[in-house]
Amino acid sequence: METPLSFAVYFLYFICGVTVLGLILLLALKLRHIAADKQEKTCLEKYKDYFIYLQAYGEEEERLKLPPGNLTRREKQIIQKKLFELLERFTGIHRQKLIVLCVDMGLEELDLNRMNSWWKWTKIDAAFNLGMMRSGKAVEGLLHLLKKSDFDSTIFIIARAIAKCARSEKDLRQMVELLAAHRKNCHQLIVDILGDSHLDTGPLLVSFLKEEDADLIKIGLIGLSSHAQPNMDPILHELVDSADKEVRIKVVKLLCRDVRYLTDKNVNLFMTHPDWELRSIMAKAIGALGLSQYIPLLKRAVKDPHWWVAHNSTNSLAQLQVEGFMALCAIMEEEKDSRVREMAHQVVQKELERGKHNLVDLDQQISYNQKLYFYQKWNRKSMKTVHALEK
Amino acid sequence: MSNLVATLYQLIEASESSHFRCGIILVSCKDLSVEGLETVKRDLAHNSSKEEAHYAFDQNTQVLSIFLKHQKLSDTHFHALLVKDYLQNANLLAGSLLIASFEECTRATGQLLRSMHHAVMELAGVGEIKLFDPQAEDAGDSAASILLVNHDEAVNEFLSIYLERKGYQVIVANDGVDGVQKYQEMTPDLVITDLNLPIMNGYQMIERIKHSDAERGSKIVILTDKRLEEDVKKSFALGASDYITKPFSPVELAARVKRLIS
Amino acid sequence: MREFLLYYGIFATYYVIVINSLYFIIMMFSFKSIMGILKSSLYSRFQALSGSKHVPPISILVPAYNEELTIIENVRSLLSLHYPEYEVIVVNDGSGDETLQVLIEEFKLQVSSNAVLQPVLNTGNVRGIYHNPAFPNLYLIDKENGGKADSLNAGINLSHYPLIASIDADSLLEKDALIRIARVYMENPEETVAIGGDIRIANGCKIEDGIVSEIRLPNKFLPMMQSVEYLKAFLGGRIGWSAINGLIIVSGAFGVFRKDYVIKVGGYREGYPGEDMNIIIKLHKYMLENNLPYRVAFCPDAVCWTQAPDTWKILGSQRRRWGRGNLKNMIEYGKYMVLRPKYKIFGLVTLPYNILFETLNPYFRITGLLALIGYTLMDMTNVDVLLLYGSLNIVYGLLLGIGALLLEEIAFRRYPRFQDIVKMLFYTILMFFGYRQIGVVWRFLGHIEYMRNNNSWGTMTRTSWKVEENKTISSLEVRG
Repeated sequence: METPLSFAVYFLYFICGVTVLGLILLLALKLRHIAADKQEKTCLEKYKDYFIYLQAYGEEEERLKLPPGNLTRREKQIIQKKLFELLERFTGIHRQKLIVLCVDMGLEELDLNRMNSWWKWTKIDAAFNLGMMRSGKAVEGLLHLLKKSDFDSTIFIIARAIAKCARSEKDLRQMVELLAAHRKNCHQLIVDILGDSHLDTGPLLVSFLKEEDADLIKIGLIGLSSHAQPNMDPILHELVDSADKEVRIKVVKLLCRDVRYLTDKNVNLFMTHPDWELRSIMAKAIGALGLSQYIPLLKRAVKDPHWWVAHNSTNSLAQLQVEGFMALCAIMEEEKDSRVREMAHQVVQKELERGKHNLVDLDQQISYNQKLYFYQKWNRKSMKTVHALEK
Repeated sequence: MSNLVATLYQLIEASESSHFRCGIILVSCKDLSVEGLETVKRDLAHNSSKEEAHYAFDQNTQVLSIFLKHQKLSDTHFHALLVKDYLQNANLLAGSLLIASFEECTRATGQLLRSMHHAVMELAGVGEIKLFDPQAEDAGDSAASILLVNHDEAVNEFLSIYLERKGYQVIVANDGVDGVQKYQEMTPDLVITDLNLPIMNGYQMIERIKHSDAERGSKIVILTDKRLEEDVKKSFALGASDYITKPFSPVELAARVKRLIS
Repeated sequence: MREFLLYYGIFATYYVIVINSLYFIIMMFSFKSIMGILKSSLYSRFQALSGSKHVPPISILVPAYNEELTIIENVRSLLSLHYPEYEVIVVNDGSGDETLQVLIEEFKLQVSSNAVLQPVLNTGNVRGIYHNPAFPNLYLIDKENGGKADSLNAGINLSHYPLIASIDADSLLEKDALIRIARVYMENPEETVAIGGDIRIANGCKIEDGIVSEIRLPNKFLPMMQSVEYLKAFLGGRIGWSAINGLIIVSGAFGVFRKDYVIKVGGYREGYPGEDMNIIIKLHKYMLENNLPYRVAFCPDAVCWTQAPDTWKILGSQRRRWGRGNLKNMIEYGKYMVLRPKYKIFGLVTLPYNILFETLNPYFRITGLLALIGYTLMDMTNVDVLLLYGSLNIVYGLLLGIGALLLEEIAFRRYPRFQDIVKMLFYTILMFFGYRQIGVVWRFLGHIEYMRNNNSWGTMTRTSWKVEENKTISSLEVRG
């Protein structure tokens, strides 16, 4: 054969070899998986009665008994999987007893040993298992593993395990700091992970607010938005002036969840803040919290150059009972800017439409009738004006 | 038939004090000779040496009874697992097992023992372990019924075992459509449902249920992974009586269920 | 003449070696990341996550054109996804059938004159927006026909949430597909601009109440071929490409995007196929030009089932469309971005690879084959050269196919039976006897269509779905 093609021929032999290897690997893997599935099925069948026993006596004082007979390591792992399925759905004594059972079966010991493996994926398996068993003994090893890992999906598996195992605030704090150090802005996920801990994370979250690190501050703010803590106002007020816009937004969001933080001074400050995001959050909150005393502020904000601020302000007015509704009618009457008038008109229509369908109790009915009355009054008046103009 | 009951009764009578708890396992076996019974006794005693157990076999009905002193129901149940394993391996198992436990063994009256004996022979299947509940026997079959709608099989399995132990009658549905259907068939006293359901989600199902019989109004408890405030709000607006998030405490769930049903 | 044919044949042979070897390298990247994917999908508690407050809300956009038969079931299925907070926006793109009416009737929708449509993107005229408070997270936009891209843009204008998911009206999402994608997003929300899901062929599967209840390989020839093709492209190709951040396409059938960046790049391009590739190219371009760190991710455990075309005619029109869209994208963006260091991996690897080995593929392969056939015909003693060319193609193709099956077996195992693997292997080989060649011809025809349309500059016919008249096709693309 010609020389230019001889390389191609050798190459063909080479890939034939690789293909055969791949094929053997594929078939072997498939057969192994099929065998493993079968084994799992028989094992679960064998211990079916035992699992019923486990589920029936989860709340009695004494320990659950170990499965009868001698278990192979593989059987142990299959049972472990089943136990995890149960215990991840429980809190309280049921979970506690299943964890104790895992420890009695020697599973914690096994996974603690596997943490020392050379093989990364074995460590990840072990980390997950230890997390499920909430093994306090594992925290050191897990933190070490987290510290050494590069940023990829698996670090969140380790982090979740740490959150579950954590014995003290310190463990959690270390975990959060390690995650935040990657600077990937995964604050929401971190807060979600913290929620897996059985410790009260409130104080930890508050302490994050006093940090320099903006990432930690944000984590604290996100966490606290569903976890209100007392005595936060001084810190929060300081943060309103933070250089980081996201921090400012989150602080105001947090403040707006609670009427007690919303002093006149604050409301005025936020409604006139240079950040449109803050104005729009505040405008929304006034409606949500029903603070009718700020109707004049909202009336002014309806003219805000930023669409969202105007939008939220109009909607908030609609939420503020009859007074707010009257303000909307007034805007339709007085306002010169047609865009603003149009927006108010839309909200008024929506409010009237909603009222037609949703009249659950008497109060709502009364308020709806009042609104309708005002609207008709306004409508007649404006019609008159129109007529007057036409004449 | 009363042969076995008499033997059991003797065991209880013979005890010096009647204030101890006891467990009883009844199991349908293949024919056992006297030597056979001795082997069973020996082997089982070998397997679980701790417990004090008495064995009796009724030739007429072919029921083996095991009387366990000082055993709670959980231990009796566990013991039954061993018994079942052993009988199965020895190829002696002919039917299912029935277990019971009495706080004070004098409560095991002849009446109860007889109905238990009767029940074990009625049991279908081979190798199933059933609980005999003396209280339910007294109360008749007026047990409150609970419809469990959940896509999560682990939760379904657990809650039906757990709540049945608490004396409720449990019906399981896997999705919203199934849930509505079963609801209309059974009209349970209480519905425990998830919001994440395939085909028809929890809200739609609750609306359907509320719609289908407004005056009866079964109580509805939400048991879900959803932790959003809007979901809680919406559920209560739709008429749910309680909202429990997963992971949950079964003890707490049982307490709430009890409050709602009584 | 003979000399020339031979040398051209030799060139084609080495072309085949290089193209396949590059694919092989990409696949090695897939193997590198497969364990991570497996573990994080195994150990993420999606059930718990699907109720979390910290998951970002998503707007699902469903462009629908003449879907009256399936739309109800699909919307119902979308309304019961396991996800904490989301909305479904169906966009009726001026359907000629009863799509609008069946939706309105089924969900008792009413014209909602007050729905807020933020006009961030230009779209065709919107005739009305429908809503029913009883299904608070379902919206229906009725607009004049303007094509799929236009519908998506209209959906974006109405959407209330920061993430958008585009989904074909004839595809079925697995219940946890969205939460699986959200997991990937949450791990790096700032930099993730788009995430693609895995597309699998639903033909042959048992589907009940909008859920794939039993997974089976297709019985028919064409869907089976596509099954193998998709597996190879998605698992072998896209996992690897996403590992080096060089992914050039996120399927139109199922992808999640950050709305702010989609708006920044001007939304979807109207009136031409290949809008799903186009948006990704634009995102790459925008992020690289503005020096922003970013990634286009792929989440192979989030599965969307789609009906593959089962006739030659429909498949052909789909593939011609892909060819056309691909060529257009390559011409329009290629000339600015290819081999410019500024565009990093995307400009230096992805685009050249695509142009040389996807766009130009038909020319090299077919001509190479023809040249060698011609050469052999002239002198039958040289038949071994032709055999070499053929077997290189087949064996290398088989190797890549085995690689994809290995990935599937390691991480996903959707097809549990042993015979499934054998069947897929058989079809991997069978593909090289006719199917591949026809595919190449289709692609070539697509290019011709493109050229023709572009000659009549300015009066280019507006290609909407109507012209394609294929209801069952998703505009997804299969390629590395």
